[in-house]
Amino acid sequence: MISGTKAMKTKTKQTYHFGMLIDLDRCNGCGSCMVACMSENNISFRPDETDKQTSITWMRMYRISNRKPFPDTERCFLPMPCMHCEGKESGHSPCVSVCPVTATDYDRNTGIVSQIPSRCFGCRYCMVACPYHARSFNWWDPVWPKGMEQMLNPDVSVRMRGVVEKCSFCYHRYQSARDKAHLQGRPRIEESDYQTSCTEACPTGAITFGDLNNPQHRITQMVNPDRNLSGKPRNPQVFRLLEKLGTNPSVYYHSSKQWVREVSDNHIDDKGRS
Amino acid sequence: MGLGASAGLTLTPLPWKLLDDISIWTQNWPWVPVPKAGVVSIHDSICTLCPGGCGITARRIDERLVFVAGQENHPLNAGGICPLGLSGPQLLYTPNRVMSPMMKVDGAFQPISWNAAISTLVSHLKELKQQQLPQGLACLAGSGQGTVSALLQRFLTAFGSPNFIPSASIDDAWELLTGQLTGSRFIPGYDLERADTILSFGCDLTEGWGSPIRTMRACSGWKENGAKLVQIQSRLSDTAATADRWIAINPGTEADLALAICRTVAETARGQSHISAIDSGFRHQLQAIIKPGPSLEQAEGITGVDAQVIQQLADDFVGSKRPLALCREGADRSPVASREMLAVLALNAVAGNIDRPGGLHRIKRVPYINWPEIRRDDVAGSGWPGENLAGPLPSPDAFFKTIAEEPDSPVGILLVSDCNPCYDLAASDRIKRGIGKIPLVVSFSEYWNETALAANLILPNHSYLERYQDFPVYAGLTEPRLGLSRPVSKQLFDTRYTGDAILETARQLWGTAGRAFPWKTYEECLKETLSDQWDDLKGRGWINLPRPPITSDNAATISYSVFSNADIETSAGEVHKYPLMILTRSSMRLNNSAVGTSPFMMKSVSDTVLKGKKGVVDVNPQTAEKLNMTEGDMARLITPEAEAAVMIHLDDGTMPDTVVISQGLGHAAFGEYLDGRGVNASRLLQPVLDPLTGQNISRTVRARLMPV
Ligand code: SF4
Ligand code: SF4
Ligand code: SF4
Repeated sequence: MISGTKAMKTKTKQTYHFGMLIDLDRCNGCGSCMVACMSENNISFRPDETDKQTSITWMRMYRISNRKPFPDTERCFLPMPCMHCEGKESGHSPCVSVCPVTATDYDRNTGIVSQIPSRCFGCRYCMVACPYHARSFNWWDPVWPKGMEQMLNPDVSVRMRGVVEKCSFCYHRYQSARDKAHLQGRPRIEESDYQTSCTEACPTGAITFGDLNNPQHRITQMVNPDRNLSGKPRNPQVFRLLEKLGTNPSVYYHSSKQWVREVSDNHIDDKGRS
Repeated sequence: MGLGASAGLTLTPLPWKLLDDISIWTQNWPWVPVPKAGVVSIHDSICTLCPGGCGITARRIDERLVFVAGQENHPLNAGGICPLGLSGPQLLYTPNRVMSPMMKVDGAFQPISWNAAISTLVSHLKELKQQQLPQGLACLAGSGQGTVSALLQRFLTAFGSPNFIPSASIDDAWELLTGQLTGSRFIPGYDLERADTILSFGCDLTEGWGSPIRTMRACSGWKENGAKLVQIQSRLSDTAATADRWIAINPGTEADLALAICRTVAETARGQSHISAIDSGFRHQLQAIIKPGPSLEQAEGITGVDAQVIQQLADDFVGSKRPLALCREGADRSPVASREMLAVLALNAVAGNIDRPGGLHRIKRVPYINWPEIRRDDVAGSGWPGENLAGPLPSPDAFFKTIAEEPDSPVGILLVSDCNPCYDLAASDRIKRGIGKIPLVVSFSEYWNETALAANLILPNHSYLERYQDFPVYAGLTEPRLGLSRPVSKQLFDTRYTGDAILETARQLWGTAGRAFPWKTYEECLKETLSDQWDDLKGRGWINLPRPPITSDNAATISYSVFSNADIETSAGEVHKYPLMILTRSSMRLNNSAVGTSPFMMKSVSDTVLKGKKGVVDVNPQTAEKLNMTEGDMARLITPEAEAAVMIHLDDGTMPDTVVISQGLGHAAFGEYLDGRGVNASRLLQPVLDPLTGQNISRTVRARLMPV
C-alpha cells in the first residue's frame, strides 16, 4: 500500500541516517532527558501522571535489574525514546507499515520516523505494532494551567485529543539546522548543528547523537555499524533492543555489563519498570 | 461482507480519505493552544535552585520564556542540567506563584498593596519595640550566604535581635568542626576529577551531592579514565547501581567503617608517614579521633561488612595513587553527624591526600560582603543583641524546640525567607503547630508553599528568573566561585525583591537616617557590594573566589567522648515495637526545597515511587513475606512521631528490615500537581541534634508496618 520498498534502489545522493547511542554505564537515571524532551516538545501534563499506560512521554525510563537477592542485586536505567526503526528493508518500520493514512513515515533522507499529528486519526494501529512502547495516545485534550501556555515552544505544534505522538528526534531542530546550513552556503549540516534536546541536557554525556552514515561522527565511530547486517553494531559492548526482531533500530545502547546486554535483547518485563 | 468487499474497502482510498477529513475536522479544537512565533533570543544566567550554581541559558520567544538549558561553556555544568533546572519555564509561569502581597484576614488570604503590607509589618515591629522586646523578632533564612541573608541579619541586629537563624549547610558545620579541630576553619573541596580510588560513604553522588551536575560529570569521567568508585551504602541507590562496587552496610554505621579503615591504614608504613607529615595540632587531634575507632573484628560486628573486605578496602585505598574519601550530605546539603564528618576527614588525612591533586583541599570561605559594622548607637532602643535562642550555630530545629517548650511563643514576629520549615523539617507536623503559636509570621516566598500558607503576611519575592542574586558556590568545589543570577524574564507579577522590602521597612522604622542601610534600592546595594566585580559578574555570570592559604595552629580540643557511640542519628523508639528502620531516598526527579517539584518532574517520577496519590515504599521481599505483605498492598507505616498510609513495592536492592521512602512528596501546598500526592518523609522523622554542631542529623527512624 505504501511505497516502502522502492526507495532503497532509487536512493541517489548520500543521505543522513541520524541515530542515537545511549551509554548505560554512564546513565544514572536523573531524568533530565525526559524533562528536556517535555519542555522542548510541548508535551502536555496532567495532575496525575502515575498511570504510565496513559501518561504521555517521548522518552520513557525503564529500570532493569539482574533479579538477584540483596546484596547481589544490580540495576541499570534504560532511557527509551522512539527507536526510529528502519525495518528490514529501508522504510519498513513496524509502525509505518500499518498506518492507514501515512501519518507516520520513514524519511529516507534522515532515517527519522515522523509523526504528523494533524494527519493521525487515532486508530492506534501503530501503538499496537510498535514493539518498544514508544508511542503515546492523547486520551484527553491538553490543558495548560492559566498562564503556563506561555512556555510553549512555537517550533513544535501542540497535539490534540485523539492523536498519537512520539519522539521525533527533535525533527524541528534538524529543519532549522538545515536552514542554517543553507543560509551559510554549506551543503551539509555539521554534527554540532543538530543535536536533540535530551542529548544536550544529559549531565553525564550518556547520549551521543549523530549521523550513522558519516564516519567522522562520534556515534559512527563508537557503534561501528555493519552495513551488510542492517547496521548491527560491530562494537561488542554496543547493542540494540530486540535485535532479533529485525526492526533495525537507529537507537543503540552501550553497556560493559553482560547481564544488561542479555536482558535487553530479550524483553523488558513489567517488573523491570523504572 | 465477503472477501471481495473487504478487499475492495482496503483498496479504495475513499474510507481513508473520509477518515482523514474527519480527523482534520475533529482536531480543529479552538482550545488547543497555538504557540505564537516571534523573535528568538538567548540569555545566560545561573541557576540558584540548589547550592550547585550551574550556568543556565534561557531561550525566549519575544518576551516569553520557553526553555532553560544548561549553559554550554560553563565550567561547572558544561551544558548539562538537572530536571529541576530544566523546569524553569514551569516554575516561572506556574499559577502557584504569589502574585501580589497577601494578608490573612479571618483565615483567608486577600491581596493587599505593598504600602499596606509594609506598614502592617512596621506597626507590628513598633509594638515589639515599645514592649522592649526586640529579641521577639526572629528570622529563618534558607542560607546564611549572600546579600539578602546579610540584609536580613543586619536588620535584626539593628532592631536589637540576635535571632537570625539561617538553615545551616554542611559547609557551616565543617567550618565549626575544622576550626575546633585544627585551629583554622575550612571546608573540604574534593578534587573529584583527578582522584583514582573513591570511597563514598553513602553519598548521593548521582542524586544530588555537592554541585550536582559537576559531581555527575565527575562520575561519568571516572568511567572514562578508569577511576574506581566504591559506594558504601545501606541500599542499592542509583549511585550504588552505577558504582564499580557496592558494599552494603548496616544503616548509620558509615562512620564506624571509616574509622576502622583509618585504624588499619594508620598501622601501615605509608599511613604512618602520612600522619607524621601533618601539622602537630591537627595530628594530635587526628590520633584522638582514630584511636577509639573499632578494630576490624568489632567493625564487622557493627557494620555488617566482612573484616576481610574492610582490610581489602584499606589496602586498596592506601595503596592507590590518588585516594579520596567522600562524606555524605543531608538533604539540600544540610549537615550530617559530626562523627561521620570527622571520620571521613581523618581517613583522607591518613591517606595523605590533603591539599594534593585528587585529594581533599582545604578551602577557606572568603567574605565578599564588606559593609561597615553596625555601631551600637545604630541599634534601636533597648540594647545590643544577646544570644541566639537557636544556639551558637543556630538551628531551625532548636528554634522550634524552644517555641514548642514555652507556653507562649517567645517570638512575636517571625520572618521567613527562602525556606519551607513547615514541610522539610523533621517532625513537620510539630513545626506547623509551632508556627501557629507565633502571632505574626511574615513570608517572603514567591510560591504558595506550606510555610507561606501558614503565614499571616506575604511579601512575595521575584522568582529566581526575574532577579539579580549573588550566589557564592562552595559545594565541595576545589575552585569556589561567586555567581550572579541575572533576570532572564521580565517581571510578571506585583512582586518585589526581599532586599527592597527590608530596605523599605528599615526606612519606615528609622527614617532615611537609618545609617545601617544607606542604599536606596536593593540593586544599588548589590552593585555597591560587588563594586569592581559587578561588570565581570554581570557579563560572565561568575568569578573565581580567591583561595587564601590555610594555616593551622592553636587547635582547641573537641570532646570526642560525645561521639564515641554509634547510632546517635536514629531517634528513639524501642526495637521490639518498631522493628524496622526507615531510610530516605533522594532523587533528581523530586525536589525537597521551598520551590517544590514541577509538573514535568512529577511526570517523570516512576510508578514505583508514586501511584495515584499513594506514596510507595520499598521493602525487601523477605521482609514483606515476614509481614505477610506483597507488591501493591497498602500498609500503615508507623514511627514514634507519626504514621502514614503507604503502598508496598518489593525491591531486592533494599536491605531486609528497612523501609525506603522518597523525599520530596506529600505536600500540603503547591496546587493540584503536588498537593496530597505521596507521603512527606520528614513528617515521620524526629529531630536529633548533633552534640558538636547542634544541627539536626536525623536520617533514620525506627518504624513498623501494619496491614490496613
Ligand atoms: S539525562 Fe542522561 S544520565 Fe540522566 S537519565 Fe537521561 S540519559 Fe541518563
Ligand atoms: S520504536 Fe516504535 S514508533 Fe519508533 S519507529 Fe520503531 S516501531 Fe515505530
Ligand atoms: S543542579 Fe542545582 S544549580 Fe544545577 S540546574 Fe539543577 S537545581 Fe540548578
